[in-house]
Amino acid sequence: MKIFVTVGHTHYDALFKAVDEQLSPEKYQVINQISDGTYFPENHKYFKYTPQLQDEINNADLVITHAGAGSVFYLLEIAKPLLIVPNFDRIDNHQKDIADFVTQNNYASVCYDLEQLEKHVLASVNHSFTQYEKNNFCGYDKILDIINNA
Amino acid sequence: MLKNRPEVILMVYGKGGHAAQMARFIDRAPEELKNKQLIALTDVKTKDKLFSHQFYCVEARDKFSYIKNLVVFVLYFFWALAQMIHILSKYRVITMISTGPGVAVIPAIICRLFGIKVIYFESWSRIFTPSIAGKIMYRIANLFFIQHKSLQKFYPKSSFFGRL
Repeated sequence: MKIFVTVGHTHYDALFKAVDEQLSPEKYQVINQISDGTYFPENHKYFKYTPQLQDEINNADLVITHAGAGSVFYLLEIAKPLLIVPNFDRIDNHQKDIADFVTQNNYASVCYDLEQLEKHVLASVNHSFTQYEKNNFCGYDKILDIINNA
Repeated sequence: MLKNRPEVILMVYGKGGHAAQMARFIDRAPEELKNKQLIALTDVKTKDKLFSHQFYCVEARDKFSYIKNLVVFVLYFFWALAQMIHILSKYRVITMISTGPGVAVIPAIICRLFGIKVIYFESWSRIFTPSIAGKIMYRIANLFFIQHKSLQKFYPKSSFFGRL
C-alpha cells in the first residue's frame, strides 16, 4: 500500500516516529512530509515540503494527515481515502474540533492513540465512510455592500 | 501626499489553513471584488501574486508554548503597529478582510480607529469551540462570519453563509 503522510506547516515528530516504527517497509511504501520536525524516519522516504503536494496525494492509496483544517477539508472534498491523526502537542483545541467533526459525521477514520496506528490504517481503507458535501461560501454580496459604502 | 493614496482592500491572514482560506476566498470572489487592488499583511514569507504588495508581520502567538507567548506578543504588537503605519501612509484602505488568526487583532483595532470597516472569518477549523482570536475579533469586526452553524451559540450576531 502506498501511503503519504503530511502535516502541513506544523511539526509532529510523534506521528512520524509511530509511522516509522509500526508501518513496515515490506508492507507499506510510505512518503513523509515532515515540515520542520526533528524526527527523521529511518525506514521510509521523507522531505520537509514539496511543491508537488498534489502529485504525492494522487499517487498515494491512503493519506495520513494531522487534523489541520486546510489539509482535512481539501482531502475530504477530493474524497481521498484518509486517516486523520490529531496533534495534541499543540496547546489549543484546534485539532480536536476537526477530529470530532469528522468522527461524528463518519467522514473518515480518526486515530486518537498513536500506538494503534497500523490498526487505523487498515480501518481507513476497509471501512466505508459518508461522502463529505460542501456548502460553498455565498456571502460576497454582504462584503461588497461594505466595500462599496466605504 | 495623503490625498493621492491608491484605494486598496487590506487582506490579513496567517500561514497554513488561514492562507488556504484566503486563497479560496479570493479565488471564488466575484469580478467586482477581484478588480479592486488587494494588498496583504501576513506572516507568510513567500510572495503571492494575488496581491499588488505584500507586507510581512510576525505571528501573534506561539502554537506550542505559553511561556514564549508573552515575548512573541510584544514583538508582534510593535511589528504590526509599524507595518500598519507604513500601510496607512501609502494607501487608502477601504476595508480590511481577515481569515485569522491572531495576526489580525492589532491591524483590526487600528483600522477601526481610522473608521475602516473590518470583516473577519472565524476559522473553518472551529466547529464546537470558539478560538481566542475569534472571541477578540467578534468584538472588533463589523461583519463576522462563522463557517459552521454550531458556533452560532457563541457568536449570536455572527453571519453564516457556508464554508470557504
